[in-house]
Amino acid sequence: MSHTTTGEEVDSPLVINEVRIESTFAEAFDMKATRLIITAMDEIWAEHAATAMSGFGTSVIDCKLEIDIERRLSPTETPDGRPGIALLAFAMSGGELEKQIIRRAGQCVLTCPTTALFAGLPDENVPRDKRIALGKSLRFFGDGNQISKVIDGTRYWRVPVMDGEFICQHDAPRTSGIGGGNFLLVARDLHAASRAARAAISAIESMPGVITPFPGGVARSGSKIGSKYKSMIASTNDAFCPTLRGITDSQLGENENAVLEIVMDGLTYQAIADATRAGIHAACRSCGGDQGLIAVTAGNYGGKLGRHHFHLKEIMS
Amino acid sequence: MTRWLFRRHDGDPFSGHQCAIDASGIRRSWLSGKSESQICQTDLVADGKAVPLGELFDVEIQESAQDQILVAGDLANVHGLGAMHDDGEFRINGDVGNYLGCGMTGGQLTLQGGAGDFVGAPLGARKVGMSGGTICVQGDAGDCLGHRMRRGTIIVNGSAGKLLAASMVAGTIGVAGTLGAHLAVGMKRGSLILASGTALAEQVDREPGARRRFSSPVRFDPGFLSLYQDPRFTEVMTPLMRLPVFRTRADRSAGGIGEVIFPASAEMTL
Repeated sequence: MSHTTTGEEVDSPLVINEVRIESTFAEAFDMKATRLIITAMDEIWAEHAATAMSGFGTSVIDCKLEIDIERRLSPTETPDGRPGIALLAFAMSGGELEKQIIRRAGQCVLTCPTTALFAGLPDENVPRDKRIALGKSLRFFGDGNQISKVIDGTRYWRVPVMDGEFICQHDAPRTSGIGGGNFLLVARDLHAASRAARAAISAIESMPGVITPFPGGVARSGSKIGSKYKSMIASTNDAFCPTLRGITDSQLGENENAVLEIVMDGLTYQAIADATRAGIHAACRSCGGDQGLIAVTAGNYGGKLGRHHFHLKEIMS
Repeated sequence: MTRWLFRRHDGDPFSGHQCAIDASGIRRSWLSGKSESQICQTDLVADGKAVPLGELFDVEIQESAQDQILVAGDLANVHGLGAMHDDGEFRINGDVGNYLGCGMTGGQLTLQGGAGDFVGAPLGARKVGMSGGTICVQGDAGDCLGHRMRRGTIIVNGSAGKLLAASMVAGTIGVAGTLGAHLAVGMKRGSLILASGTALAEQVDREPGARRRFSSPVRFDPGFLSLYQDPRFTEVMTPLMRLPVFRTRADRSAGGIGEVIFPASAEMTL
């Protein structure tokens, strides 16, 4: 196997259920990450809080935070024995992660009836500068009536609110994560691309340690770095826009008329690699053959943006 | 890490309730790095006199996964056990004297037996009581438990004596059994969790001025109690999980906002 100057791998193509898996790689970069657990009296309130907290959290480009539901938790899996939801959040720096989490926790969890907020990553003596304030900041809403409780070495805050008490862990550890894992589903038409994307997301959404933060887990506005406009740091990925074939240097063939992208953030390389494998297999199984999915490829910037490279053939072999 | 074992001698001249032994010197921080013979030569105060520790206790040192102090024997006249305990485990078998875990700052202290007065209170002339760690008393405790307590947790699976949580500043006390008089006098903040509201209700009815000490009880959803996973809390917590829970604040006559949490009972007339 060899690489071209643009990062393309030259090799015989891999085919899964008549879907061509391109010899290329997804390029991902380092991020700071944390896991939060929201619990509530019932699943409905937990869902409301988690949905609000993860809203407008698709891309760090403008949201400053990529956040989504990781999985639903049964009462036996949560610190207070109530139904819960685990969220993963990623940002470009520890400071930005803390800033965004505090804002969202204050406006989306503190406000939501019956909810409580806990850290979800293992707390193995993580130093103070690698922790994100939760109750440490939110407690001041109690206006002096907040109560601190240290239980089994962990500090919690009980903040009086109109439905009783908002219980919130003092802080949450953060860790290093990876953002920007991706693969692109190239299809005959938008219906096929949509079906393939949904099949991929169904396979990924139950996997631990990884999230797909875009709406429904899917992005149609894949981007390249830079723009003709100076104010834009990213702009449309014209190489994969079917309407720009013949105008720009397109990477789409004649029958390839719709492309959707699955973008993944994960706590580890392995989590993203596993999710990539599961998503591509599910998409190919569901929409390969004559069902409209033609190829799977990935977005990279020639290896210049991030140090984590997910080679599709390696992962799928 | 080290395990220190102390066994109180039987029938020595310092046995009996008339002779008080101050064992507050048995501390992890003082024991660390000392040999058995050095520990035995360290003086404790017994009957008002300096007595080498070796004349009161058999001492043994072992390797251990964590720092651990084990004390056993007839300890009814031994006071100040676990005083200023700061880390690791302090386990005691048998009834002990006063000042158990006084001034404690961290770690775990488990007593398989009953305790005397001033559990978790200030040590000596200090103004602040226990400020960290957990004390678990499997039996009954005496008066002034948690006096001036500032932080940490005390669980009593038996009953507690008079002046429980008096002048308590912060922290958590849980009591499974009955209570003595003058509950929460001068309590400023902190949590007192009771497995039964009966004793509290009786006290408010009988004790002059007690009604002024407590705010009107209000229904309370004690969501934070489910965070206590430690099985030692089971006896205190179980009634609170089954019954409607109320909360009153104390000591209101002194402007305190400590909380007293208790399950509903038929006798409750606060």
